[in-house]
Amino acid sequence: MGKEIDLWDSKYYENRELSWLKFDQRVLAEAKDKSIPLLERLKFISITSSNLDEFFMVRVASLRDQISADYKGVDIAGMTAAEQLERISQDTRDLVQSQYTAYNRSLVPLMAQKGIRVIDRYEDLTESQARFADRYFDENVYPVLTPMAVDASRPFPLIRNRTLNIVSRLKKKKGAKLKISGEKDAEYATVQVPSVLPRLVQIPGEEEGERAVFLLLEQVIEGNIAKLYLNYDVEASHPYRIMRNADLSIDEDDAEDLLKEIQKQLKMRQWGEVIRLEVEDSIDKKLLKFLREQLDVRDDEAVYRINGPIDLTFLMKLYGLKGYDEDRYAPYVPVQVPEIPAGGDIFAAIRKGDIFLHHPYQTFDPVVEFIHRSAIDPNVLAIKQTLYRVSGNSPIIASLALAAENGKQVTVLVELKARFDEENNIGWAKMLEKAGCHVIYGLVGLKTHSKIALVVRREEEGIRRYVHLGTGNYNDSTARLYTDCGIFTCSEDMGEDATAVFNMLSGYSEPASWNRLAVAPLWLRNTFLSLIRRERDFAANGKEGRIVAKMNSLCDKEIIEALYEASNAGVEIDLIVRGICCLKTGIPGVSENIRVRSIVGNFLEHSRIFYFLNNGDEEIYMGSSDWMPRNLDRRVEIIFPVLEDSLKEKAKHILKVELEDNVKANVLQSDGTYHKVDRRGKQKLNSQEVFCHEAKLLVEKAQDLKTQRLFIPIMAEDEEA
Amino acid sequence: MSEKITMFASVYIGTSEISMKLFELSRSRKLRIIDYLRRRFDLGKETLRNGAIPALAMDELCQCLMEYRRIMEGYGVDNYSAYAGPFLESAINADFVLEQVRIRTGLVATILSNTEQRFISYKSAACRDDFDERVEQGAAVVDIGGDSIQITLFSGGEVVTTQHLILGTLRIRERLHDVLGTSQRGYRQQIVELVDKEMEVFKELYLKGSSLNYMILIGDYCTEIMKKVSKKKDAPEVDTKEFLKLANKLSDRNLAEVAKELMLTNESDPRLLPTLLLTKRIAEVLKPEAVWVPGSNISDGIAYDFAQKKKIFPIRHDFDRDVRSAAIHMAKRYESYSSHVAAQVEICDIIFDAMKKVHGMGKRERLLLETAAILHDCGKYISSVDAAMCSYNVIMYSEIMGISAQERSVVAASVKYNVHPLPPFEETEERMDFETYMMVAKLSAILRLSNALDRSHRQKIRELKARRNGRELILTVRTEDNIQLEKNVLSAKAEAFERVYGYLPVLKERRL
Repeated sequence: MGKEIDLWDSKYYENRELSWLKFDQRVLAEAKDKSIPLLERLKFISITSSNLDEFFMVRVASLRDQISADYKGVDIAGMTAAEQLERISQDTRDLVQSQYTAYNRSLVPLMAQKGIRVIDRYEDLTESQARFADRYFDENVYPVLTPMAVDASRPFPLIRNRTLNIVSRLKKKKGAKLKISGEKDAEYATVQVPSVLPRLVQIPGEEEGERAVFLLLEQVIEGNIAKLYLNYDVEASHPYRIMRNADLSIDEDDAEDLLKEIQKQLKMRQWGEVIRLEVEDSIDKKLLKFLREQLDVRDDEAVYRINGPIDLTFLMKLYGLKGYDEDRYAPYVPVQVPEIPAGGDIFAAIRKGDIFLHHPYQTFDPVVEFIHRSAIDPNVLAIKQTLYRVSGNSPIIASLALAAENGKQVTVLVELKARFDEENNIGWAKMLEKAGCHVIYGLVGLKTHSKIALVVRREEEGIRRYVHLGTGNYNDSTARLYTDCGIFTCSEDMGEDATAVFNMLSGYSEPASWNRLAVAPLWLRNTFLSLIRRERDFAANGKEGRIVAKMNSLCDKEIIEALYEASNAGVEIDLIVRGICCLKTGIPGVSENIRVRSIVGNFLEHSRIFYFLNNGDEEIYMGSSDWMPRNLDRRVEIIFPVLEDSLKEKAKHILKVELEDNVKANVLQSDGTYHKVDRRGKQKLNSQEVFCHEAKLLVEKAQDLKTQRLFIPIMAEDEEA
Repeated sequence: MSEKITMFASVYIGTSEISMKLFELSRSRKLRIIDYLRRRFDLGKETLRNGAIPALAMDELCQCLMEYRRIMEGYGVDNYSAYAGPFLESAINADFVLEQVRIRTGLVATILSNTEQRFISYKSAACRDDFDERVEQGAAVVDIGGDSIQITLFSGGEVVTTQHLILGTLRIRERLHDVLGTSQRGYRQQIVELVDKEMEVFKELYLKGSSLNYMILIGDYCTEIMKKVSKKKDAPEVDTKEFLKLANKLSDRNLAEVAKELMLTNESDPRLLPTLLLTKRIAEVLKPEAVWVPGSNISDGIAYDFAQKKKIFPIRHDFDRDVRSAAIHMAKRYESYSSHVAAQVEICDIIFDAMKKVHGMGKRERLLLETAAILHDCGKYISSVDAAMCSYNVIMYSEIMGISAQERSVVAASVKYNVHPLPPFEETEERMDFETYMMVAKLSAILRLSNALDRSHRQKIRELKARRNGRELILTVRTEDNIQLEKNVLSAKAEAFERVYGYLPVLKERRL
């Protein structure tokens, strides 16, 4: 009956960029949610903005590259690059409009109620406020400004990526003497809004109830712009911002030293093609024309007229506003992992059995402690770790350096190619090298995305290996915001595999086969495909088939096709996909048995968990990989099985609760839109809140047990003994 | 409470990779693999192409070994053994390269002869506790290498023979490269033909009538192939039928498909298909009941070898028995095994033991003496004219499981100088060092003496006793027969013995 359906047909697949934009819409929806405190909502607006910036720099840029390279290929949904850009442009404009509507209409009035005011026009200042702003300008801003006039002898300067600037149209004052004789009248000038100064300048409030009043830095400058161009009349001034093509493509065959090559690329990033120009809605026509000429923005689609302050990422600064605790969620403090008491022997704890960690509900400290202990433990011989995105001042880095100084063999794989973090990573890498660590700068042609740490320890019974495997980066600050899972284990199989992983990363041959781990790029795809097909075969043979998978993105065509096949065979499939999802649900004969939900909450959903019923012999995997071609083919990824029953239960529980979430979950409809779960007649269930609560309960339970134990009376010695 | 654990590294410089396997050796856990590093490095190709190791390759080799040394230090390694494969022998500067390795890295590496290499790789299987029970039931140990295959046949726990077939995986690939390019089917057919041709004689001579219970496979990828049909990860064993079913299924596929099916990390190793096709065909020819893959390789063998020498843990398998039984089966093959030979072995041992303080030789030399005694007559099969020289040649061209090429030459020379007069060191035809020469002199002197004691080949002598007295070696025998012939011969040979040992053998009889 469904024979004529070709599951490979691109009509059954969603374009990934458009799906991503829907994700950003879901983030924006949080900003619109009236049940959420004001500052949290402002945070979500800010996140929408920075997300969009990254999206442009990477995705839109790459589509533009395709066009300039005259690439005619189509994507998973059968769209050419030009078609995609057109749709992206529409959807982005909708998104931006919706964003500013939310800001202007809902949030600004609400902020006013709370006494917060962000003034985005110098003209709106009272006289005394203006005096304050002018003095601020003279004392703090003026010294760091570098205005650049544009004329025949002075070409338009390089405008740096993602910086805010002010362009002005000038007219020479009558009778003014120009310093350089013979110089033609300059008509335009531009000045960068200094990024070293805060975007929000706090000024005194004038009206009653105004507790926090800010003026945007560009307005401080605009209001005083005449002071920059003394011999001219400033006819018009407007802020603008550009976005450049930033996708790093490194020719590794020629790159003798990856480190130098990346440093070079970072400089070049400043020079990429302008792919987005943001200007105020009210910008002067001539100025806009001038900017487009100078920046070579020929395409109308690249111009975004903004109804409000450009670049809303500054709202993140308001999030931390003092005295507004009632307008923020109380900060969640990650609780202890009961199996690993603070200050206890972490190695002994791991020896008792595998340990499951669920961040940020549970603290990331044990992971930091694991490396720190290893650095000072005299029995530890070696520490090996992958580092992808590291926090500034990372305690893990410090521990690794200390370990090397203590004479341990420390091998660190620092992935320089982590997008936007390259500059940060290069610094750490050099520091670690100086400390005596063996630093590997990634693999040629592959990004190392796996998160694994291995500690080799010499014990009474011989060498024992302790392994931490995770779904998140070794970054103690994001570990407070991202939901991730990890396990500690000292099982021999995993230890052997972990050793082999690092041998492989160090350029040694891989083992002929792995014990437990599935490692991309070499056969992760096959592992997933065979797991999905195994469920399909069970279902086809009349048995129950079930897949529950949680990830950040799903856009691999082969995997999606396998899921469609499984769905057709009768496998019940639930997917929890936070971001991009190229799979379409509810298509008869294709995906009737597949449900997709996306959870966008206070914490960023980041863990990847894959559950397969396997005819009752359940298998659960976790890891660093999404079902995206880049994860399956172009990165070093690790997927590890959750083996111990008690740990399996924990992983299953996470999936179960997230499938029951009816507050933060959005369900993908067959028309491609996402809607919140209908919770009529049901109790509210916010999975992230449930996990917070449960983590606390677990600690209390463990403490109860401990207290009870204190009351075990000492008995008389057994006489028979 | 805690037992001593020795951290050991076995470093092996092979044709296509340099590897280091790290072990913990202890009485209770025996061999525990801690780490296994393999770096791809086509030193074999370089050697073949240039006839020598180029300076650049020497640098790279040293660099890699330096890195290994650093890792050894990291693990706190107590001991190591470093070997290079036999291929290195063909590089004219091999010795200089190893000297540079010693100077630059501090690691002392030696080149293994083909025989030694095979023996070590055999040890990796034979040292396992579950080896003996299998060979007791009749087995063929098949060691698949890049250059050749070595098959050792066991019957009732005894080595029957060891044969070399010039059928290695890489060699096959080289030979059939063009065929593979055109037809997968033709390639498979040619491998079958090659194996059959090489195994024809082997089958005819050694497999007649005897049934095999086990085929014991040693070689890369054997474990991975077996994993597909066996649930056991460590040392899998499966029914031959099962094994052939899989092998047949896979042999229709191309390299990438097979690699995918077996979940291998390397999808383009040229050795994979030949390994699969060779094992399949050999299994079809040998027809064992089951196939067993101990899953070890030369690196494990090196560790076992070390553990055996240092007596870190007891090893059940009796390697001396392998040598004796291999020699006996060889003697039988040349129709020279007799009660005389058996008597010779006994007499040699008695004299050897009596002279222990004088000759200063040990257990190993005693085994070589026994081997020489067993094989001393095998040349008669070829010709009775200068049978000793024939024996010498037969021995030199035979593989005797368990003794090295150098030891083999000791055995052969001892047999030769059992009959031929031993020339002064400078005048010997064989290339041997002084130490070897001395050993040959001592062993052949004992062999001569023992030969004299059974000159008639009738085992007239019973209950031989030997003891030193003054400058004499008193040999007391109990016999019913007339031993005048032996007495006469002895006095003729006694001089040679006295020249070597400074003791004059004197035969005394006690009538029964």
